[in-house]
Amino acid sequence: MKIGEQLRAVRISMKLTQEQVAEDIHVSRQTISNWENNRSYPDIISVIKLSDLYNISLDQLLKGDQDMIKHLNESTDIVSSNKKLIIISLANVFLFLFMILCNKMIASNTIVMGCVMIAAVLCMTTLFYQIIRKF
Amino acid sequence: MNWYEYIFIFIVILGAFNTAYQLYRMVQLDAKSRGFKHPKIWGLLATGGQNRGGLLLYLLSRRNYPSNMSEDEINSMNSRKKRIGICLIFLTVGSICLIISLISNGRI
Repeated sequence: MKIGEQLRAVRISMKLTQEQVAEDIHVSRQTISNWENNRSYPDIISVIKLSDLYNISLDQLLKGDQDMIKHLNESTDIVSSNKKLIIISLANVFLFLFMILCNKMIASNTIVMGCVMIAAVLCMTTLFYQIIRKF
Repeated sequence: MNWYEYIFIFIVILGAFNTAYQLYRMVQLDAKSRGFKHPKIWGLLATGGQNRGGLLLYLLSRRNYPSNMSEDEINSMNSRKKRIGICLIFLTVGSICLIISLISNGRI
């Protein structure tokens, strides 16, 4: 069962409104609506607060929804996210070193030049996206 | 220049401008949540400049200021990150098509 559906079912069974829940866990009513409609996922602190408020175990809340587990894994796995950033940065460095060291070969062949330009675009945009994801 | 090359240039410009705007809004929101004095100026600084130097400067400057974002602001940030991802796809696809087109027409 999705976490949103669980949250909605428990809230209705406890006869609480979205406003009351929002007030108790210090978020907006819109946020509660987003969680219940699976448009976004609560962060781990909000999940703990919700489990206290609704008297449900964290096991019950989290284990039923694979997407939620994936979301928590992505938002908390800093090591993996740093690894990606380092790999992309190194790829950029190697590409620019290659461009500097092999400039004669690149300039003489338009196909190679095109490939290097495409690789540079891909490396730069991927690096930029990884930096944005760290925000 | 062929007509389709103008379309590729338009796609690249569209992606670049939208990326810059989303980044400006993201930095502004982040700077506000960290209590920076002039969030709009930080937004402009991070958006402008070559090689994203302004963005790196902002990321280094913000390290000592903890963020106090509400859940709504976090959702807004995540939505802007997704929009930047889409804009970067536009930018990349437009640039690659333009490079291929210029090479195949013998202009490089």
